[in-house]
Amino acid sequence: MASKALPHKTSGRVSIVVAIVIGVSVAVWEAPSPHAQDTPVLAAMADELARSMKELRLRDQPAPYFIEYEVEDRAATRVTSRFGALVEDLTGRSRVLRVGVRVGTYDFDSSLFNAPGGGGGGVVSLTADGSTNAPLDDDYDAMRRQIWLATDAAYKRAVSVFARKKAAFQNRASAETVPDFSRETPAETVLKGLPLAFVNRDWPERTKQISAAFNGFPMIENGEASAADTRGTRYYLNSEGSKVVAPIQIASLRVAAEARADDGSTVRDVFTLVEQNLQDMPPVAELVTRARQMAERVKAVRTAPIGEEYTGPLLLEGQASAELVAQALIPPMLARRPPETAGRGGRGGGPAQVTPFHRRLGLRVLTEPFSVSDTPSLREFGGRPVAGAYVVDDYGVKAKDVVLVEKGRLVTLLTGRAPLRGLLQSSGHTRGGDVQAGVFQVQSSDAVSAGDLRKKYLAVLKTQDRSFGYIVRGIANPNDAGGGGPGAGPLILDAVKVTPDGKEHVVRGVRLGSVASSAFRDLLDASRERTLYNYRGTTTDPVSVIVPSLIFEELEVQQTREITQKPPVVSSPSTN
Amino acid sequence: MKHSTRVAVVSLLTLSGVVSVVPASRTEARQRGADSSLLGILQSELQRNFDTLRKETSPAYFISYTVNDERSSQIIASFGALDRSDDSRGRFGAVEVRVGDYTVDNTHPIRGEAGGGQRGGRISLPITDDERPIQLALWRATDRAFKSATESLTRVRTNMAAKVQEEDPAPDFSREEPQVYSGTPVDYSLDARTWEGRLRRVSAPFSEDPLIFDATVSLTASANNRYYVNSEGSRIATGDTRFRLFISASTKAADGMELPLYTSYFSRTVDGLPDEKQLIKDARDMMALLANLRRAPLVDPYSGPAILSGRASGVFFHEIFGHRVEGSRHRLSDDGQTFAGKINEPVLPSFLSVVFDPTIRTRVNTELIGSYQYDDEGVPGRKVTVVENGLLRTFLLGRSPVRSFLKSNGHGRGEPGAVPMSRQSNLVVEASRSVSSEMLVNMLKDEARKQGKPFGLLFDNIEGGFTTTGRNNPNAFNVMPNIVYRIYTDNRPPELVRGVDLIGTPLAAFSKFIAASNKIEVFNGVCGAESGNVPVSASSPELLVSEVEVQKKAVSQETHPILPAPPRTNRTGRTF
Repeated sequence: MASKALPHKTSGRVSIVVAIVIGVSVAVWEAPSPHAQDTPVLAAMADELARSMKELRLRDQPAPYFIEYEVEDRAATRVTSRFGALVEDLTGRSRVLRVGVRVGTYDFDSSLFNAPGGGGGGVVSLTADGSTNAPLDDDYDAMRRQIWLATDAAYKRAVSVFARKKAAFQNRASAETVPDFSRETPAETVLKGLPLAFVNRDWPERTKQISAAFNGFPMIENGEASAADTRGTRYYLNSEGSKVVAPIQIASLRVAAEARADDGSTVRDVFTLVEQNLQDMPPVAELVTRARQMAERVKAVRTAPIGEEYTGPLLLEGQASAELVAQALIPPMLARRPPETAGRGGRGGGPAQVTPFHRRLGLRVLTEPFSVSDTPSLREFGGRPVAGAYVVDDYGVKAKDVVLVEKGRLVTLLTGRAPLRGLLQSSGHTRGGDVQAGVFQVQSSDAVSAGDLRKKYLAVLKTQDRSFGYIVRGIANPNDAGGGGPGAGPLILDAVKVTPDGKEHVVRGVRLGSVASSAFRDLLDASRERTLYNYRGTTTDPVSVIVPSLIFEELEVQQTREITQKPPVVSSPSTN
Repeated sequence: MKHSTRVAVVSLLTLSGVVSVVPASRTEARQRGADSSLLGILQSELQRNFDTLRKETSPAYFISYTVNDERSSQIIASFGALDRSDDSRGRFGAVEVRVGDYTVDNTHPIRGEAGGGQRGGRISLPITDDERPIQLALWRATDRAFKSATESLTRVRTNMAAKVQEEDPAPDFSREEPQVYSGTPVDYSLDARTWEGRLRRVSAPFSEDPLIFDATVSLTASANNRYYVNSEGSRIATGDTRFRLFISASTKAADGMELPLYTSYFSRTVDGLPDEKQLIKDARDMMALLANLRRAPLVDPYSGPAILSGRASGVFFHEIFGHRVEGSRHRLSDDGQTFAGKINEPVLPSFLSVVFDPTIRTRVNTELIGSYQYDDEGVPGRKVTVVENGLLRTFLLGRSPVRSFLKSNGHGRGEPGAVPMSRQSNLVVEASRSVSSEMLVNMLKDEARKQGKPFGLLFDNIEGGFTTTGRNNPNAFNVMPNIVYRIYTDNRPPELVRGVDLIGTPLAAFSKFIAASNKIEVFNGVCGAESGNVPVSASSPELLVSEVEVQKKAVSQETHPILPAPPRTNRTGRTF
């Protein structure tokens, strides 16, 4: 069944493709390159890994039982233009070496323990996750030298942390015995890395064109477009025998505009598109149109009234629904195991916080007709590439498609190699150092068309005898527009007040109240059309969400109550 | 308040023979009169804002705009392989708005309040002369600066009314002649590939010594074009190119002590840097010295006579003397004000004079990094004799006057975006009588014998230092010598020692200089203080001091790596 791309009927808000739900996804990955010769980098990694496993040991201390090396060979570019003029055009190359050394056993090792003061260390200083810079040249000797020194530092740190962890645990009655590190089948995954040369040197010109769309709007005080691209190759080896060569690919385009209402408060709008490559971005003409539509919206919102506060049923469409799922539903589905800390049990001695949904396994977390899955194998949706798709995770564990919620009930969580009780195997979801989603899908077996969903919402308003409700179409990503204060939820970029007769009124100055994951237990309805929305899950890993528009039984809309400066004393140069 | 002089040194004479340094050969093709389009945009936007803001209830009486157009390239190699090779280009604006009047304005120090109001900050601007985005960014920044200045002025007035009469009622801003100057914009060309290869080759020898754990060779090239306009009528465009090359390496003694050495080179032209043969020789000399340092005995706490080499004296004067004659510090009531009330009194032995001169570009055939035509407040740099034959004559002054010194002497400096304050330029220590270098060594031996010591110390090089001038912590200094010899009174040869920190209190130190040699050396470095990093030089003859105090350096607890260095294979693949 073909998926059908429809134009988003709201004025071009963000992203994306809206497509009819399709069933099964097809995964096609390029075959491993048959003549994958070990580069000097891989050779240096392999040789030092072998030597370290065999010989690295401090007297009277345990030897490493697990060593892993990762080299990220990256090229990055960032180009920004403002009102059609180039502001920055940066490119850079980097190679980051990350070394992981574990002492102890799979059941109890040097990981998952906060040891204040760092400890150990060697002549090379490592970051908290064991990273340091490595030479850019494919020079075996220089690379191996750096790996040698970094391994030494990481091992000394592991020995020191392990000693303190053992000391902290010696008097603790062990309540449960969950291993510290999962046992996984080693695998070799050799894919094609991405060449480091930038093929998209036309983006300075494109960001100029896109940001020039703001030139016809004198009320816009700042209007810019920024494109960023990171690409390269990830090399990974561990002492269990896993080996990975995989592409690093993430690109984003951010377009933002800012104006000021007459009362001095700021009106801003922004959209960010994330893809694996800049080539996957929509054509520049389409982006210029979106920028212009955004400018028109900013212009309209600037003079709109501040929205009234509201608690009740809410319709979230398109990007808004997707962004809310990313912010409120994905985090509790990630089996993240917090590190233990030194100190006695009881007060503050145990793990800081537990994955919220861990205790809800088998229980209802969404309304009955809803199901949730994470499908890293899905490479295409509605004719668009799915940026969050991937093959193999940080540890070289194959990414598995996982059904998370069935008929509203929580089946399992996304896991990495730090097990939780009842979740002892990895689903291949360690990305960028922690458990992260890949392609997160929500759907309802009871969905209706987008048009009918809106009608249903109006009907709910009528039934509840409400004089108005809100349709939210754009929510800011916290990285884009800053978070709210305590108790505040995401900033609303695009919302209309809607009366039960269907009339829409533009409003400004509102945000959602804080949204708990329990809000999803009271979903009323969903659309058949689903939105593909990508965002940066980590520095180098895109995450995709594919979700329908949603009616929540109860959410809160608050005024932002920003402290506003008086309008500028001098009039804008644009109005002169 | 902590000021540190980071690193480094132009190497002359002592370690590596005479470095061939070509004097500034760039033609001074700067003609007056030629307008720059960017200056025009700056001036018209400044005037437009000033015309309104000068009529406000709290009127602006001064506005300045500074734009720094910076281009730079950095190449770093380590152990024969490239670590980094990047370019960057950016334009940054800084806006200063003063409200009140020249006598009392928003910058007036608020007693009992650390730091005072927020000022400064930089804004990014398009790198091309596009009028609208530049105007908009400046207008917005001007509005922010004006509002923050009016808030500060209110606090200043409240504070003045509430506290006792101040010690130093100098005006807040000096009156200066407007300056108009338009230099030709500068740029550089750098053959990155050639330099990448050269730095690889210069850094390669260090890999022969498995106990050298860190060794980098870096080149930074930069062109900075600065555009300055103010509401008094100044409009200045100047440009500066700089090339700095560093060689740095460190080893560890068997007890874990970190032993770093640095050599640096500075020129305004790429041809002014030493050739490859010389650089490799300097790298090899550094390796030999590191090997000797590893074996050198630890110094015991010592008090007795010493010779400071020209570079060591330069750093010593910069830290211990220079920071205490920066006029801005004398405006702050919590500053130690070591020299307050000492004008026309002896502060140094009568054979010494100290001059700060931004207008000289070379000394003893070495280019000076602290030279400039105009300071960062648009005032022409001037030669200032601070100490004349031992007598203190004046302070270093920007446009913040101190009692009885009401005019700037062209030393208002700050890094781009920082609010300028009085800072050092090219410090020159002059001796009215001097002896040969050999003679000075004999005088050292005589002095040691006189004091009943078996040896005196020779401080050949200093990696940097810091000093505190505040009233609330000990008014002391610490300089970190990294090459120190014992000079025995008998016929034993000079002996390299390690682990020395030179400590003391400033006033005591100044009176103890007893002689100078005719061997002059230059230290080119970067000085960090409240107004950011500014390039400075310090040059001095060798000086004999009757008494210094040294303490043992803190020792690192990190041991040598457990495994020996991997064998070298010279396997090289693709180079970046």
